[in-house]
Amino acid sequence: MKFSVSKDKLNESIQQVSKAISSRTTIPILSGIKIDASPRGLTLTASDTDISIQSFIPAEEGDRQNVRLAQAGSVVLPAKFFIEMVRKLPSDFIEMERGTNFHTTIRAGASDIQMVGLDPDEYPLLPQIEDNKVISMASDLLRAMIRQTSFAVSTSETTPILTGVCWNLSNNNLKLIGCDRHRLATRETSMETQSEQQFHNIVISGKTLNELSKILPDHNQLIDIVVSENQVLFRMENVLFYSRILDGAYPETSKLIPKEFNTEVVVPVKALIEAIDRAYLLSREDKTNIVKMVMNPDKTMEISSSSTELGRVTETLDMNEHTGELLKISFNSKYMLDALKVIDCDRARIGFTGSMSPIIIQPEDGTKILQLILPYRTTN
Amino acid sequence: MKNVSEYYPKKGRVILHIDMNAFYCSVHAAAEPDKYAGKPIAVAGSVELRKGIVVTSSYEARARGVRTGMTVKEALRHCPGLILISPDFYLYRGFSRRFLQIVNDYSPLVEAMSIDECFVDITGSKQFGTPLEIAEKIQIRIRTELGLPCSIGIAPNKLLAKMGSDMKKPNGLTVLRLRDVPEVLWGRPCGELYGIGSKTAAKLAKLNILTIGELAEADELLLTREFGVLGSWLKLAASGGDDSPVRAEREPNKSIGHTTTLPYNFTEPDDIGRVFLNLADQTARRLRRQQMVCGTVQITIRDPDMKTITRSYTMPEPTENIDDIYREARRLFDRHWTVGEPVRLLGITLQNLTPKAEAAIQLDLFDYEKAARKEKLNEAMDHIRDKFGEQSLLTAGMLGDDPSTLIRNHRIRGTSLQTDFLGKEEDKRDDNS
Repeated sequence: MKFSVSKDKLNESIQQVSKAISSRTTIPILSGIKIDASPRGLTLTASDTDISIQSFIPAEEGDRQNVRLAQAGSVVLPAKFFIEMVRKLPSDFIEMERGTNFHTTIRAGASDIQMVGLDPDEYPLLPQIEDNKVISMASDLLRAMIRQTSFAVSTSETTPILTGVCWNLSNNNLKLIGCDRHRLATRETSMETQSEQQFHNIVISGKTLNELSKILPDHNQLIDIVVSENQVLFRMENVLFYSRILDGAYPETSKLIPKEFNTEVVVPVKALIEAIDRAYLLSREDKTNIVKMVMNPDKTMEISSSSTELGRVTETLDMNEHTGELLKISFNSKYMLDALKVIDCDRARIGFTGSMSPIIIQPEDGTKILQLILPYRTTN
Repeated sequence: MKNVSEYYPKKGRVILHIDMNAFYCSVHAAAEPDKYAGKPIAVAGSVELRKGIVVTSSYEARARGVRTGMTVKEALRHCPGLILISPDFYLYRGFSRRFLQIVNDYSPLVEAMSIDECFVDITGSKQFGTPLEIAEKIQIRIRTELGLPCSIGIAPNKLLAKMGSDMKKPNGLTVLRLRDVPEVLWGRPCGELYGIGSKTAAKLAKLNILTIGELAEADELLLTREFGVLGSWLKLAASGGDDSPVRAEREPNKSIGHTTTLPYNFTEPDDIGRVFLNLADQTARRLRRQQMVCGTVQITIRDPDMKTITRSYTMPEPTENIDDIYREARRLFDRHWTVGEPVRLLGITLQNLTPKAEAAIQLDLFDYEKAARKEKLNEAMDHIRDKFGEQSLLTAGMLGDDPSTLIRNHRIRGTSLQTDFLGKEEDKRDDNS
């Protein structure tokens, strides 16, 4: 193996695959990045068994030459050392050559680095995925859907399935659900698929989706999503992102979401976020983040919180609409802020069925976002 | 006829501190005088194993060198004829209640400090006689009706009353006036003042304040610099001042716990599960009776070598339900105890208590509807058991014949005592950290 590669291109690829490097791995070879040089270009692979990422640097891109190949071949280099070294190398082009025993020489400008490599044949194969269930969607939409749901997943390992976002596709409708028992976030979008594709209960770790989000291209690009038995592949132009599907059945949630409300209000999102944010400053002191919402007959709403040590915050804001009972309800202000921040709309419609039942928040513009928050059980 | 009012201060209060002498042993002697009265006896845990620790001993035993905290072995070396008794809390609680009832006859302002001592404010009890007469009456009634000795301190505040009852044991009756303080207390070391522990005493010694008198005359600025607000209190207390009121109601419990010693060393998971279920049931019952919810579940496990560990877990949300408490207790046990290792004692303690009315409980999407129904079920079951007794309503898993099923008849309470001597080899751990 011998080639030279553009430092910027190599760096970009390294950054992409590094999301799949875990510092604590039980399989030593997975602490490395696998490099394959071929006449087509350079392929970098990293994996922590849950996620595997492959990034491809084409030898030529337009009239630009990224890789000059002298001899094809492969090697696995220790990720941590390799990543930091490449970032600090001086010249625009980097030359790499594998010697005996996988020892690899990296030359750049006046630098000469000898790195102890590992046998590429020992590197595990990437998951084989059949291309029979494929959907395509714009990267911007995918990023938005992840942002609107992944924040609500559970961080507790007591119910592992809830640490993931559940994907369902049926009737040309894709639905993502994130839920940590105390709140639930869903986002739906219509999806033109060939031959009425469908899948259910595809649960992908919220953490993984956040990593994917960082790799998704900035310019809007179509992403292929390939779903298999236990793996999902997100296929971008030069990146393959494989994720394990979480084991277990995702709980049925649709029946738990109230469809009819005793109270409905429409509120300006920005003003409500600001009011709750100020109340949150006090309420976060006692870890519960508890904030109280009281509706007044004059179409105003009062948001308040108090702390014995710090004092009290009371905010009054106008409601655009109000129908049904005047309600008093207490909730975790952090949950409400998280939900309101992903509504992406000037006005939100909030539905209530009682002070001990779920609160439903939806954007007024009809985008299929639904945020649900369970309130605090209080006696006052 | 003398004017009783003259014996009461015009301003200020009259407080008695009543301290039962060698309470546990005295109770045994009173309950079974033929066996124990006038003999060297000691209450100790695990008599049969000879590994227990002396919890308390009679004056006859103390005269021969037996001390609280000694191992049974050591105590027997000092006093070969020592009669050892296992604690019986049902008995102690019964006597404790009766002694408090007697005290209650003279004033409603009774603050029970523990099972064997109380403060009583008799400022408004002139109808029963002078303070000294009331104290004598109480002492005589406790002796004749219950057969128990006690020492009583009579003073204008709780601090001096407590110091007074300590002056003469057993059967003491000590009046400690403010004007007696310099003569009686000032010559004594600081550590003897009620409320000064060994740490504070050591700190005072560093400041060259060795006696209560020196403390009373110390520079308050110096004391507040060293001890903060406690500094002013120290100086005030050393001159016999204390304005804390007698609180008739006890402050809310900080924890609720039950432990039970097993009849033999348990190894079977089913047996252990049943014990935990019964412990969870009774702790949850007490929790709900006090209208509290708990945030933390702690379990206590003791092995046959008396090595004791406690493990605790703070739940994401506070609870009042037996199933949550049982589940966490079992999980802690499974995690921290090797299957098949023998167990001698098990306990559950509910900590991190907050009044239910003030607690903010985050509702859960998957069981917020069930939670409301469970609350109603709890209420209904508590109601039935309050009316017809603990045994009237049980789940099948609670049935058995080990002592854990007996905690329902409230005979083996034993929490405070049994935890008293957990101290030594204790190994505490919190599962959340």
